[in-house]
Amino acid sequence: MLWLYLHLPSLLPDHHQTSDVPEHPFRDDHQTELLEQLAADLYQLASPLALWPPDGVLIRADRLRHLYPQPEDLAAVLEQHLSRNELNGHMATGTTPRMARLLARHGVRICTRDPETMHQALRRLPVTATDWPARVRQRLTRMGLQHLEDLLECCPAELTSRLGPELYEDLQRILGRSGDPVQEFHPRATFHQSLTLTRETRDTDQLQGPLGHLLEKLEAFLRQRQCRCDRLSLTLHHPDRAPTCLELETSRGETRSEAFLELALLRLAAINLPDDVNALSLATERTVALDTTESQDLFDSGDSRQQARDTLLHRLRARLGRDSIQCPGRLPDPRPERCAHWQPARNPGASTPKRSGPARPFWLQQPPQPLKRPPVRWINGPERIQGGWWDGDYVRRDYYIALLDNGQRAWLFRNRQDQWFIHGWFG
Amino acid sequence: MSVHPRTQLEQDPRLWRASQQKTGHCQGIASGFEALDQLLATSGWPQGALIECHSPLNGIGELQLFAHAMRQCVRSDTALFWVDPPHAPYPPALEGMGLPPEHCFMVRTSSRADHIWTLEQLLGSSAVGMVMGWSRRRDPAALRRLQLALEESRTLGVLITPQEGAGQASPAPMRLTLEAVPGTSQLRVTLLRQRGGQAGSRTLTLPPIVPRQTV
Repeated sequence: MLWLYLHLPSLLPDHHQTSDVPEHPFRDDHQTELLEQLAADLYQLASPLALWPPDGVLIRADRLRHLYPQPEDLAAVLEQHLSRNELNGHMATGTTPRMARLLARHGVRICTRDPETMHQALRRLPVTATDWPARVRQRLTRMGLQHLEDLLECCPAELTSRLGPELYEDLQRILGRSGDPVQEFHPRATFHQSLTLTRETRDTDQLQGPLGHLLEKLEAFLRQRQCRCDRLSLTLHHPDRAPTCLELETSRGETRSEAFLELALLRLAAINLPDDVNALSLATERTVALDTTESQDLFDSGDSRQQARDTLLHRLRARLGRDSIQCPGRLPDPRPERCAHWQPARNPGASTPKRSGPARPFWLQQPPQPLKRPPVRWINGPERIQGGWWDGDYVRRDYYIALLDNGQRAWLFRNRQDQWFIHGWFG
Repeated sequence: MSVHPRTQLEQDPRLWRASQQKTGHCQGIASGFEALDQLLATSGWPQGALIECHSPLNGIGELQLFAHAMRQCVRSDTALFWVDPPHAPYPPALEGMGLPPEHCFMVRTSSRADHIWTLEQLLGSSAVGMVMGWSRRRDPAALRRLQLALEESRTLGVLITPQEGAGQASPAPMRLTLEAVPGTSQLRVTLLRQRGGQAGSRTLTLPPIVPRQTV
């Protein structure tokens, strides 16, 4: 077996190390998160691989022989990827995971398929470069065992009796004479990434850059998985305050970062941030697999109008609030003020059969207005509407359509007390 | 009189070149009133040109005037939007007019800026067939913005504003005032201005609310 270990002395990009990075709420998980991000990127280039926290990635190089005939080829691709991400790393091959790791951590750049070369390099490794406890290393040095080869020349029984059985067993694992299980890494099915801002701000224009960067990563994530996201949660972290959470919804699921950015900026414009923002996190709440049966050709026009309408509604909702867009709904009730209502447009309303019945006004006056002057002309009536005995709000009204003196065509009713009211207008 | 250098004039946001004006081939949607269609340059309500409508009252037939156009929009599977109407349109009446609920939307905004922004978004969208907006205040700069948004699409845009502004200048290509004829079911439509046509006035007899019964 051939393993390649990639040691990353620090996962933070160079310019972050020099600048004074402010404290942010997820400092502890940050290193692990960065490592996972890197592994998820490398997963495309070289899998199977395994994470070796806090700062290493282990790649099963012998399984990649078809892609990279020589370990050097793999190393070149990895180096290219690292330099693109402003990271530096040391890598080394080994016949066992531990061997590759020890060599890489010591800075021995060795990329070969030849076991003898690797073993020789390992033999020359100083005892101080191993990951054994400091106490053991000191003891070995005091015993005059400077390099691993000195140790290997010792009698196993003597080593065990002097330093305990653990050291000998570990040595066997390094040399591959006993097994060392490795847990394979698979990227997460959901997207969750955070970004620390270099400067705290509450200005939307300044947030746009980092947000766009996160959304581009999301786009890459979605494209790799051939899926789209229809609900996103964006969290804005504040220095001394509970974070602000925003939900972004798209109609049919979206992949493009520009579309998400537009929605996010509309949401940000509609709210007042309580405090400066020092970090952003983005997570997908729901992803949908891309439907391969959907036509994506140039002349696709089938659903585009419905899609354009849905996109428009989501854009309006992002700025105006969820319930600002309403569509008509019906209820089975004879009372005019209860038989219909406007409800937040969430799902497309069901089509109702065309209504046939007495004429109804376009505008309903709610609550009804007392009629001040008698109408000049009666157009239709009476139409008796009664009901509501079941819920205590009994009504019995006689409705008329009449022309008022100012030219308005009104829907009037007379109640049981012979009082007249205007209940609507025919627009 | 001082003479401005040309560049300075060009930067003035209140001026635009006549060549920037998109004359295009404005298409019209029949209004359903023959007399009115004859007066309108596009033989119907123009698409892509803002219609500013001054109406002193609600319920004088202002919706009947556009009812035919609304039905046309629904027939072509585009949406209808009412932005900040004075009252909520009554759903049974919409159905009676032949407007199915899945095509009807009402938008309520809480501020002036949101109101203009919403109208601008709707007018510029290809998915919207017709937008009717009610503005309590007239703002020529905002009207200009709306007209620019509308030029990009083929939406029918109607903005109903109070009567007081009828004498002021407006960037809307079509302006009309509505007036009820007292004592009759008639509506007087006065066309103050239209692009490519003459001003004029017509008195329209509104369709009866209750269809005449055949015995």
